[in-house]
Amino acid sequence: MISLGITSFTFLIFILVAAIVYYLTPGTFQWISLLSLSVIFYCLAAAPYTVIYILISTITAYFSTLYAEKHQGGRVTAVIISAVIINILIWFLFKGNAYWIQLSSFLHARIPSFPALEAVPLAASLGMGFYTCQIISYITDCCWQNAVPQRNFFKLLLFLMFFPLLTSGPICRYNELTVLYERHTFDIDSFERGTQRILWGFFKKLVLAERLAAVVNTVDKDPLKCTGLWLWIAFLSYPLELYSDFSGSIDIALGTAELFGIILPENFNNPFFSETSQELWQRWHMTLGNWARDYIMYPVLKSEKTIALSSAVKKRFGKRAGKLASLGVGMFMTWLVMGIWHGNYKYILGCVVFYFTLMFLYEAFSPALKKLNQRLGIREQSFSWKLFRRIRTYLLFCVFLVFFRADGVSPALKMLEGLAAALTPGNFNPWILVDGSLSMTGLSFTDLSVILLSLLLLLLAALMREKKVHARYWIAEQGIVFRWGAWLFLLFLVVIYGKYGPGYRAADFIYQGF
Amino acid sequence: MKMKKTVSAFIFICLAAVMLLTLSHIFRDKKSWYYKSEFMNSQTGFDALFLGASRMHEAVDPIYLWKEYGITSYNLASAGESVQMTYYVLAEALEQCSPKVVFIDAAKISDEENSINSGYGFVHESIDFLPFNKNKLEAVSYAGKFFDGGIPAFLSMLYAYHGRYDDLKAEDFKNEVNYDKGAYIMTSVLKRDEPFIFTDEKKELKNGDGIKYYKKILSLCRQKNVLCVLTDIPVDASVYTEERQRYLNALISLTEENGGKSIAFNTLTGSIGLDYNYCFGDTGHLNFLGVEKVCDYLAAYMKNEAGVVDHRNDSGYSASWNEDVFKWDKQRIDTLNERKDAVEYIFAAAGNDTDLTLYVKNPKKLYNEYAMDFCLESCGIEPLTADEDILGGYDLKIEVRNKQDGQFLSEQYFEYNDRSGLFTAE
Repeated sequence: MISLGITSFTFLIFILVAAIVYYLTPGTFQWISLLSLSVIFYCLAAAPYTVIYILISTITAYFSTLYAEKHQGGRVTAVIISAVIINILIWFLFKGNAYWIQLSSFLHARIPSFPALEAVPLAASLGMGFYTCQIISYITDCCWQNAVPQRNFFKLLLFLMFFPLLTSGPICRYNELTVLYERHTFDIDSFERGTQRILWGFFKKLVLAERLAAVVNTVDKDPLKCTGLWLWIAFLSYPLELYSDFSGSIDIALGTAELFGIILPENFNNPFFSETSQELWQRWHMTLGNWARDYIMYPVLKSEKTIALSSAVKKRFGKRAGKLASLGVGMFMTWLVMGIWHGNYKYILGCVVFYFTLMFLYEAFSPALKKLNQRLGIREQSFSWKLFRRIRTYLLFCVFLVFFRADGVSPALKMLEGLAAALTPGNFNPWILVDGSLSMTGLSFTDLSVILLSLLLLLLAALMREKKVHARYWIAEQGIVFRWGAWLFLLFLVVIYGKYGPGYRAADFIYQGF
Repeated sequence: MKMKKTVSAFIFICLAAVMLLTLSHIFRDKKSWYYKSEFMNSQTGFDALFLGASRMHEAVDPIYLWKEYGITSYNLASAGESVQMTYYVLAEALEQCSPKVVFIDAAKISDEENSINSGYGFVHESIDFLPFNKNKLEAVSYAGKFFDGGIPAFLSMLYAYHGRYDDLKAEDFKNEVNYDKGAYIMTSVLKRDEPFIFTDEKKELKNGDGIKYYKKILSLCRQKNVLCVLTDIPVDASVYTEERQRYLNALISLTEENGGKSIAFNTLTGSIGLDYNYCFGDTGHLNFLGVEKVCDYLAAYMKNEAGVVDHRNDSGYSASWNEDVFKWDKQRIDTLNERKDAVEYIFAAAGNDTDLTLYVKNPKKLYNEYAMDFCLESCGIEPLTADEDILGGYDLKIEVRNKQDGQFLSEQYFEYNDRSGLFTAE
């Protein structure tokens, strides 16, 4: 099979050919060429037979929404719910199989007559976690009359199969992607911006994420040698690795779409500038967060049972308690679904036990904490306080990601235990930073310098974005020497310091697994 | 406005392309160009070509063939080269010149199926220098099937070599070429065992890629009216096994059936005067003494079988070839310090144009090892005992001067290793 990972040489050739084909196609038929290109991409990047799951999802959505449009009553609800459940079941069968395999294994160990289930010997389709969210949102939007059902089956198929989205999202709403069916003429500005965005994505993934991965993987693979400060290095590096990996893939997806004149929603907004965990989740994987908010949290908050619960608590414990009760139920369901979406019990534990508890407690005690700050005379607008809050939020995220990184719940807990032990006098080994031990990661002094330079560039871009200035647009306003110099320098960094080529296989994007 | 933008984008793309090409030149592994680019630049053409793997690469010295016999030739062989890659190199070579004879190394003609019979780096060394044309595209398409990275790994030098950022040296920023017409001649000495002849039997050849490509070579030579000579370079007894002989016998038959000829050097070793005590540089390759024996035989063979003539009095050749001989003599001296073993250094430095002086702390140690003993005797060097002032803490210092005017050319310091008995430089 041809390697068509989005950081491959073949992918670059593919998108170049795709763009030429697309713009040479007459406007009315452009969506057909986009669908054809997406099918070709799919067949080259994944097992072709798995496209059948996407077809099943499209069929369920297509017929259920058209049925709902023409009919009314309880039967419509049954059809819509059935369509959603079918899609969720397909997801559970292939992507969420860890849940039922582990559960059956657990039960089999205690009740031998209970069968130990095994994974279906078929591959999951590419981007299943992402397009399942999209199809659920489409069905729901049509049901809520937020979207007009698509009457052309193949146009609906394109909504699910648009190839830049298949690797790791972002998760798009149907109304955001109706632009797929519109006519697009070649626009050099759009093409330039798309290329720049792709280059930035390549930089994040191939230059930074792959080097940070070398550090983190060294620690994970050799726990006997990598003790003490090593654990902390991996602990603190992993969020940066995950961010540069995931946001890099999103940059490539968004840039690729922009080549075709299609603007996709952003998925990140400087998450590490967040002062609270709640803010972090509004800036990290935004399309999943927004999806969970709109299709889980709001419906739960608006449901009769939640309202009834809130009223009951309000009567007994007061207004704030009532509000907290409904918010708690909504947040719990949202974090539960977010955890489930990631496909393993450990994520549920990380999401529900860690983040839900943390954020609910923060919500509950925030008035008290505010008063405490006032009593302590903390200036909440000062840089130092904001910096403290950002570091605190980052560290909490690091703890959450221990569950993400570890192979299971108990390894994650062991990792956290190891981190605490690493700070004790016998285990603390700061000399590894200066005695050449870092070479264990396979990284040279140049590589470590490249990591620092890359982080600096990322920080500069992030600082600009905090001031509502996009680095790309800022560069575009500069003189020609600086402008061209900046892009050539970035190209140089990617081409020379990118981890790609023979003998080196860039790891798959971490979120490609979802 | 749009036109201005388009022009601007075009200029930027050109700039980026120039940057990438420059980086590609800097980062690429230089071996292929170092040994073979002089072939592409030649204006006189060649009467004979030598192709194949390291045994051929290190067995034939075109400068020696020119100096002694006036034969114009080029050694296009390279380490680990499979016959499949030899075919593409030959196809390109025959488009560049019209030799009378080509010698194909038998070492890497394998009959294994689905095997390129070569390593990734070796394939690069074989074909990187080929210009971007049909031969190159066919070569990379074939090689790409066998290695991680596929076709881009052989088509784009940046794709293949960008990771060398920690290994770049001053030489990477220059375009140095080898003036020994593609050859690498060893100057070390290693005693080997002479092979015995076992059998006339032939192995039944499988129709693997190696055999298919060897047949293509024979066909190409017939088509271009070039004599193709299968050449089995001398090896020691450990390599020349009975199984190997049966295989070679089959290859020889195949060659003759397809209009080619063959030289089985391993059946001729006595008659060409090869001394297994001194004519090998390592376990599988000849040194300069062995090279001279092989070249003497090949010169006579080329004259008799292919009508190759002496061009030394031909002004169309002599000027440029003599200039190259001069350049090679200079390069030989300039690259002396790459030879880390004292014996290698002495043999590489010794010549009609140089004077060598050896300063040694303990002369007895020099004669402990047979290769050094032989080296000093054959070069007629009498070492001088020297003190710390001259040796500066080392055990041996070799100074090379021009024989005519006494001008200093090169020097190297060596340490004595008690365990190996060798003098080696850092």
